Amino acid sequence: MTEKPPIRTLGPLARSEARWAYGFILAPFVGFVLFGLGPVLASALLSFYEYNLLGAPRWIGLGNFRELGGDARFHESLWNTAFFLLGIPVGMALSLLVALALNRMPGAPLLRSLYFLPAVTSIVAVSLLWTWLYNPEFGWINNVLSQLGIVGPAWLQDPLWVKPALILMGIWMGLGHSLLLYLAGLQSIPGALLEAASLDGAGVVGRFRWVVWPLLTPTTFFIVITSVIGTLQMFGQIYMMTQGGPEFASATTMYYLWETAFQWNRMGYACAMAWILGSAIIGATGAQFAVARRWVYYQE
Amino acid sequence: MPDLFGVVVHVSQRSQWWYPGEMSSERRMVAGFLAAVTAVSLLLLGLFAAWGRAGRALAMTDDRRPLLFTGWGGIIERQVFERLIAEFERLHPEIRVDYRPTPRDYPTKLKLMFAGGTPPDVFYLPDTEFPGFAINGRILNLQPWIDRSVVIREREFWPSSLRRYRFDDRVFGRGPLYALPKDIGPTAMFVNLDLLRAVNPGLAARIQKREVAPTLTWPEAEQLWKELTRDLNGDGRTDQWGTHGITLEAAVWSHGGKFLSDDGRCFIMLQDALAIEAAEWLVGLQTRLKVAPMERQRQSIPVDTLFLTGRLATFVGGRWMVPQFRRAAFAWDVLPVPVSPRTRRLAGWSGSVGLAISSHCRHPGDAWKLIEFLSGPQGQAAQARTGFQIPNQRWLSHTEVFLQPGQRPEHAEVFIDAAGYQDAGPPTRTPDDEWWDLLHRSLSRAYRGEATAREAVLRVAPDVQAALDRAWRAIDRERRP
Amino acid sequence: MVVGAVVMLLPFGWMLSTALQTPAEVFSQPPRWLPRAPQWGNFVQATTVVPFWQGVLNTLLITLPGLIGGLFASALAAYAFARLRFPGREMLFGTLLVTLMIPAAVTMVPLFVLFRELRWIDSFRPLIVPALFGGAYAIFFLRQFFRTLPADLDEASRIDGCSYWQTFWKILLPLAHAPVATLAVFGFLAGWNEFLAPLIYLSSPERFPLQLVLAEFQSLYYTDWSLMMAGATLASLPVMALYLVAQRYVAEGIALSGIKA
Repeated sequence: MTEKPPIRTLGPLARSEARWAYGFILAPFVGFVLFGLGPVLASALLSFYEYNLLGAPRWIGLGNFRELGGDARFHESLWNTAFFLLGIPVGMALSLLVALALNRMPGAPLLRSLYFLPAVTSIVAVSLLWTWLYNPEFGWINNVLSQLGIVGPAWLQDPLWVKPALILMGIWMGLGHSLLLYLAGLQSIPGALLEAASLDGAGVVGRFRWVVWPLLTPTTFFIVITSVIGTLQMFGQIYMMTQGGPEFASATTMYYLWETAFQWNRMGYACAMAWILGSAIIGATGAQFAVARRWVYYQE
Repeated sequence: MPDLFGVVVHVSQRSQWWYPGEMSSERRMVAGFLAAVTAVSLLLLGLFAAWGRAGRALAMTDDRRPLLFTGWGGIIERQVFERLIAEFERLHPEIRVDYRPTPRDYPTKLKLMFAGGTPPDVFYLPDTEFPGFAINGRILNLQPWIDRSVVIREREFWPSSLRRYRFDDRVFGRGPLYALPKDIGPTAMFVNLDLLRAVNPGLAARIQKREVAPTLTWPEAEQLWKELTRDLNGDGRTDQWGTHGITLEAAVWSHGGKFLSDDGRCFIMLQDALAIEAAEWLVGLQTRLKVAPMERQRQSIPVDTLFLTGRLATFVGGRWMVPQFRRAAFAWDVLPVPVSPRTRRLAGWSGSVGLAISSHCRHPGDAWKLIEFLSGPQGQAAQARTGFQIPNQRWLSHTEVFLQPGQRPEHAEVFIDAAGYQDAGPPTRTPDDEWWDLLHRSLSRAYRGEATAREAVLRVAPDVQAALDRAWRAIDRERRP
Repeated sequence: MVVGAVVMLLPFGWMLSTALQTPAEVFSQPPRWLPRAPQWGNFVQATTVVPFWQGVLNTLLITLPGLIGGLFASALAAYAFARLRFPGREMLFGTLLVTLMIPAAVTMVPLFVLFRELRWIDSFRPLIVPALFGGAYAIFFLRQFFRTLPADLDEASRIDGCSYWQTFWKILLPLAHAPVATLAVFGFLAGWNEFLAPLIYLSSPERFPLQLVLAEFQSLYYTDWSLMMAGATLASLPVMALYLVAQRYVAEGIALSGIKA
């Protein structure tokens, strides 16, 4: 139990300072109420209604949630979304490897920026480009494969391959971002620590295992959380490249949510779906924060 | 310097989120701040709403009455409509038409405009979307205007082009008209005559000489397609395909099969042996005979490009392909879609886009004038001259405006006949097209050869029926007194 | 690592190569890397067959006001959180950081309904106004910066008779040009590439920002890969150039808070 802070009365100077401060932070809080908190509450409320934007919303209690329980497409979209999470560890391992190699290497800044270029390119441009790369007959990927004697799959038109194809593209897009984070993390590791480890007889692997990796845990933690949040809300490339197809094999929950709200105008149902997706996101984030204490090491 | 999450962890561990205890002056100040945030938020909300209304008022500075008209279409169609609208504004100086063609994903954009409270006044309404718009009361009943009009006469339209826009509050296909067809889009089989001559000179000559284009039966067509499917460079892969584009409707209807019960409420395809047989035949063109490209090849190059580059010998498509195909370097013509040997019945799918007035329209009289103009003889003639569309009015189809002698296709009347016997897609008779979507998604397994058509239909039939039930339930609930 | 970087760049090379080819070359087997005669005209065509420049203008009209206003609001709040003492400071700051965890999926539908009620749909307002209130990332980022400055700065300025506002405006904000530049670069990249919000809120083609215009290629010219690749190249070049010029800021920004570009 923490101590009760003493009840203090503020002097006039402190009061004036506080008033200025409240004035200065007013705008972000108003923005938060209008475009964050308000919509979140409204969304929670709407999820108990049937609302098609035409008539008045109609209260149906848990009806939307019950329907979600039996909605095969919703379940499929959840499975697809979970599948896309598989790309995260692969991308992180790759970017960590590249970061370790690039660290303190001559020419690193130039290479670093080359790796980062896909990350600044818009999702629309990237989608157009990769749709073309994945073209089964004329695309570059299948042509490279055919020179190796492999008949490539139809990628985006093949229910088996569409998810791996999108994951590969996602890794290409996101690599530079995690790479930059890892490089920054590596640069903040004091050289003295590494030297000390060497003196104690640690080899490359030992230094990585006992010094580098623990000190990179905050970075890793950060990348995991932001990537999970981002992947759970994947939309642009699905909309541009596959429209959820073939046979819904690439539809993320976010895409299904968009379709439900803006194609079928079932706003209440969409909100119920959003809450389930949102709970998954908040739950995943919260769980990671909870276990973070066990493995994430924050330097003071 | 700690990163963002480090700070979050740090702050959450250190700060006391709220002090227990009496109302201190500190707590009062925080409470005052939160009250201020709430007050300012509410105030701003009011201001924003006023701003929204003011914005709309400002937009009407012109003293002409505005009409927002939206549709889609490629470059040619847009140019035609810009000219037509200029002409309309000259005839009606008191009306200003804001023409806003939407390039992408039109049905979604259209629904979004309605959902967002910014519906257009006059708009293209695809026939598959018609039921949803009619049921939800989003469009006006045009019948009173049609009955009074001297320009629009119902009997001059193709009956099938009107039927799909009728709704009597319970059943589709009957009752007053809620939209007028902008066009009618029956399908025909485009044939590359140069390729055909190489394998079957007799048939090619017959097509070119005969007054009436011959109708092939499925076995005759299969034979032809087999001859036309070839591996040109000897790499073991097909580079020239026999055919593509026959619709499921064409196959099933010609064979005598059905998708739905007459009231549109029951999915009966699975129980209908003829329907399944027709579907198996259609699927077999890809999987058994391999005369039609699989989806994989089609996605690589769009089928219209395949046809234009001489790699697809026959292609079932609509009139809208004509302007594009007129650029082709080879001779081509159109034949009716091949028919089932069992019935020899001419059948097929014809699409259509309607012109409708939003129920939010503030000047419905003006909106009707625009539709009357675009659907009437003058508008239809201008659209037909581009070659991409068949006039909605029968008499106009038989004039040079549409037949365009001297230009391909020579047997343009194949389209006119098809406009008579082909029908709207099944989803135009049901409140929404989700069931149809589900059916096709499942059938794509059959097209890939992973299942027979029967297995694919069997697997999805319960979902299809559930989707139909859901759609009809939604109307029945609305209609109950 | 050089090999890795080349692999990363290959797709861009393919994009450029396709952009310079004729339609016949695009559909040739095996594919060509080098066009026989580079079709530079494809780039000109890509800007004329769709309202490309109108899209660029709209993107700027949408992005810049929100960016400037938002940065100002964020800086002001960050200054208060970093340099002023007031009751509930930590609690309020924590609340603000929690807003970062609200998934966009949850607010998407109610925001649409809100803007619909306000009659803001199909205008730039839903895209600009929320940005004007400042963002939690920017506040966090600038707060970290302001905390590194010596405390004497404020005290000296207070003794000179400056108000808190003047202290912020005349002393602290000018010192913060580097982090503000970082945030501006990020904000601009994000604004240039924004897709989902305009897709939902805008329906008139003349208001479409560049990304929606770019998406139009796919439906209008779906067979013309050289035109699409030319459009994609043109739309990507400005942000790539901006990134290469300002990459010092970008690297710093990412290292500190992991803001997504």
